[in-house]
Amino acid sequence: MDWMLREQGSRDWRLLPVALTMWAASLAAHLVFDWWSAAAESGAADMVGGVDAVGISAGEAAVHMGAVPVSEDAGAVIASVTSQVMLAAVAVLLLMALGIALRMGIRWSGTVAVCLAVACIGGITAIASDAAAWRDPAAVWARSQGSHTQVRATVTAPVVASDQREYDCQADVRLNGIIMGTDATDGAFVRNGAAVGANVATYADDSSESSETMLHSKAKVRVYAEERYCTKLNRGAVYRLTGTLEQAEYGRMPLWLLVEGEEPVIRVKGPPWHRAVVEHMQQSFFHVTERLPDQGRVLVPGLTLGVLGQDYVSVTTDSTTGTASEPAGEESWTASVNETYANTLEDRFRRSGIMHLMAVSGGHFVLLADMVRRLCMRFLLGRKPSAALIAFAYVLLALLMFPGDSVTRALVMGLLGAAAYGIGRRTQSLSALSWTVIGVLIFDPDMSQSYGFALSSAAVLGIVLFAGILGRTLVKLLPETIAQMTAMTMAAQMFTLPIQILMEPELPLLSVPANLLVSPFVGFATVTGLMALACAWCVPWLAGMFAWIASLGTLVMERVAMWLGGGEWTALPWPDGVTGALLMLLAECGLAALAVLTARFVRYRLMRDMVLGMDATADSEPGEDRSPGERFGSARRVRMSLWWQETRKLFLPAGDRT
Amino acid sequence: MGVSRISKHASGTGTGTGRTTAGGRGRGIGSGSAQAAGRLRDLRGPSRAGDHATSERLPHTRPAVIPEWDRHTAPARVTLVKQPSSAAKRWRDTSTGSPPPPPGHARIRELSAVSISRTATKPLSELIGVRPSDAADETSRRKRDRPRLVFTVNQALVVILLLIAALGVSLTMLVQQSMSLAALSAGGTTRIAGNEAERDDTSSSVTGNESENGQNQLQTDSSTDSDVAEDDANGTPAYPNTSDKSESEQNANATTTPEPDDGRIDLNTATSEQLQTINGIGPVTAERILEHRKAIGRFVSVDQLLDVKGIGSKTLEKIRDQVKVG
Repeated sequence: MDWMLREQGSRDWRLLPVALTMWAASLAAHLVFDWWSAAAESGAADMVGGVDAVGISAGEAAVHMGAVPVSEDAGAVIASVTSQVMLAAVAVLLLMALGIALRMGIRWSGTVAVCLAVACIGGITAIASDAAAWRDPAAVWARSQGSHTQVRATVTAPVVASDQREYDCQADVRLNGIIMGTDATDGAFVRNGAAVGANVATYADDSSESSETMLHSKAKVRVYAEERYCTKLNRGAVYRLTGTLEQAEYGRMPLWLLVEGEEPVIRVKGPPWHRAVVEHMQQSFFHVTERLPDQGRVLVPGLTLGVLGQDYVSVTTDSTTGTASEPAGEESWTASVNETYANTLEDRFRRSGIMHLMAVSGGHFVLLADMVRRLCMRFLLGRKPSAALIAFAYVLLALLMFPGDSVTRALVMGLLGAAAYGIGRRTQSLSALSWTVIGVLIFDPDMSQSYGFALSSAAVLGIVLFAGILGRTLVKLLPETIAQMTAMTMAAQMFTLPIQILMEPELPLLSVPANLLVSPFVGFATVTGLMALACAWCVPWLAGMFAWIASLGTLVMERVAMWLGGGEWTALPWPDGVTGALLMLLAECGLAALAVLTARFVRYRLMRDMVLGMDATADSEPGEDRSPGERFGSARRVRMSLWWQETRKLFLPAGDRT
Repeated sequence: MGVSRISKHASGTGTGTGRTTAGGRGRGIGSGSAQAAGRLRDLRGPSRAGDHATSERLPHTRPAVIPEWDRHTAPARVTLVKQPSSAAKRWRDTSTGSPPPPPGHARIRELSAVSISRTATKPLSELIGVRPSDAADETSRRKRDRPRLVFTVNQALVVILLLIAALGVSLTMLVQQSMSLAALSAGGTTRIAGNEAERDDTSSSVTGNESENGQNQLQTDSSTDSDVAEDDANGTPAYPNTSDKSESEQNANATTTPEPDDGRIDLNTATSEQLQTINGIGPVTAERILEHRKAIGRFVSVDQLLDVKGIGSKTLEKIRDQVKVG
């Protein structure tokens, strides 16, 4: 009851357990579906009798998936029916118990009810999206026949350097369909030799309608291609691609398309105008950063756009002739950054714990929103128009960045904040974050398995929960600015460290000092990078200046990373996997408890000394354990002066005592 | 929720006691209010033990209309200072004593007593004055420092409804996608032109095609594979094309010729001179067509000529029957 009297409406944490439950339920549902689909596939393999895994057909899997119990055993049927009835009964009982608890006014029953609802919703959406992706014709095709295919696809993410050795670049696409009835799809695509001129497999085709069929599909595929085809892939354009469609071995995309063959990339439709504009802007920006020193070439795009310089692949925008583009492509390729240096730099960044700077996070959006808001206030715009402008600026910035899950999180949360500002409510970060997580996981359940989204959300959660408290405690020990920056760094790392351990099982010990050293320069480097991006397409020399200023900031980052990330003691090996993450959480809790106990002990001793000191003078009762108020003056100064006095007493006892 | 209940309840009792004059009626209402106060206390949990006893003893008291933040400080009952003028329409007298009336209060009360209506309007003079409870006592102005963590019933219901709406939208989008996929796939077979005649017997005569399926399947050719491919075609109507594919392949094998002889110029294999023979295309346009072909790889449909500079829709209509894409 006392808690309710002391509740503060401006700190609304009600949805935090709800968001956590949703994430956990979504992950659990994904795991269950993966386990089930693996079982279904292996079951099909067993039944077909020794055919190897590639030849598993879709039919058996479809039969298994139909959820009709095909078992002939009567006992198994009865068991399944009984278990379903029992589950239903348990669900009904649970709902009744919840209803009774709500009526009786038990305090946590509301939260428990919402958490249960959200768990069901998370499970439903995750399983629905997984099942839809599994049943997708392209996925079925890849599972059954993983072979040479011709597909029609729209490019959804810009081309970046490939993570596979054999291919030069990769791009994420969304299929429109698999094209059947062509020689390519039938696997003997050179059957109709007739290699005349710009040749390709021929198929009977009318001028107005294509007589080939397209097996429509909406699968997400990662395309790996060689360098000469990469440059043709514009984001947003529709292509006809030829290659091997297979299931992915790793990564978040479920399918891979390894582009091979003659003329495997044919453009069917150009990109929409806004994508073309954005691509042109990004390309001009990269032309500008190419003139910077090596560290600038790598780091300035990373800081600004979220993609490191060596990962970028420049594409030719529209209507350049084929022959002209290739020499240009070769030029930009051979003049690229020294690969060893770039890899070393990336590794050092990771080991020193400042790799998060190279991913677009809320920081960009907050900076931009701040500028826009100040501009609006300067012109005395009302709240609603200014909120609309802020939202517009957010969307624009998100379009310009390279797509990523942390961008999604920052965009949605920023839009919620702009909406709150528009209707005059104060922003509640934790509530906005929870709604962001819940909304994103409902509409895109795959995000629950995404590291980028998890890291971004965990960082915000840590900052919202702990930065204030840590700041208040550290201000007593350190100068104010350093205390605030340290508090922000430590708070952000609280929850991101376990997730980082899941990705890479080592603990960066020097991340706090590294972040401290780097953080004064991040702000202006980001702003100048964004300004360079904004004007690179029209005023390259100005953009060059901005980029050069940004590279000064990144020079500091590079020095810090090389220095701090290079030693042997910078990263502590840690057990990997979920156990490592849990161990990390336990270690953090232990450290926090230790810090709290130490603080209490110190305060107790100080109070005791203070009370003993006051005893002679004041009338207050001894043994008053807690006198209100805070210590006056800078603790450092008081301590230094006390130390000085004690030292003088120590060294000049005779002089003092005369 | 608790606050709203108290205020509703209290406003009922408040107006009731507001109408009393000193005397028995007040006592009657007072005791009724005592029961009400007792119920209020039960709702809010245990409070001081002495309150029950005092409630019966004190006449001319009424239950304190206690705002939630003051529960611990204000006693459960409030002693009213008896005023010579009757209508004690006090509003939320939560103090340990009534506020000191400002000078001239009695006169104001007399003047306004006539015009005060039954529904309790409170003169502003009631609100001024410094009360003892305004002292800088920590307990009287409770600090709010805890975050809000608990859902009430209505809030929980609203959130659940919102989430169910979002779930509905998400699932609808998903189902729409799958349905459009299935519809398009089923309809896609009808787009096969000409060659495949036995396509419509897919479901019925698959057994007849079984051997051909087996032969024409791709890498992992095994009879069991084609069996289950047949099951696939039968069991899941969304994929009728797996058997169509082989048929179309056969027909493509049979009838494939690179250049059907209808005299039209193939855009993908034509040279500049050939293109210039088309009525409506000159040398410059022919060069542009060739450049565009190099840029995009190959032409897929004649309509892509619209992308070439110099060919508009009128030109395209003019030359459409002279070109084809092969």
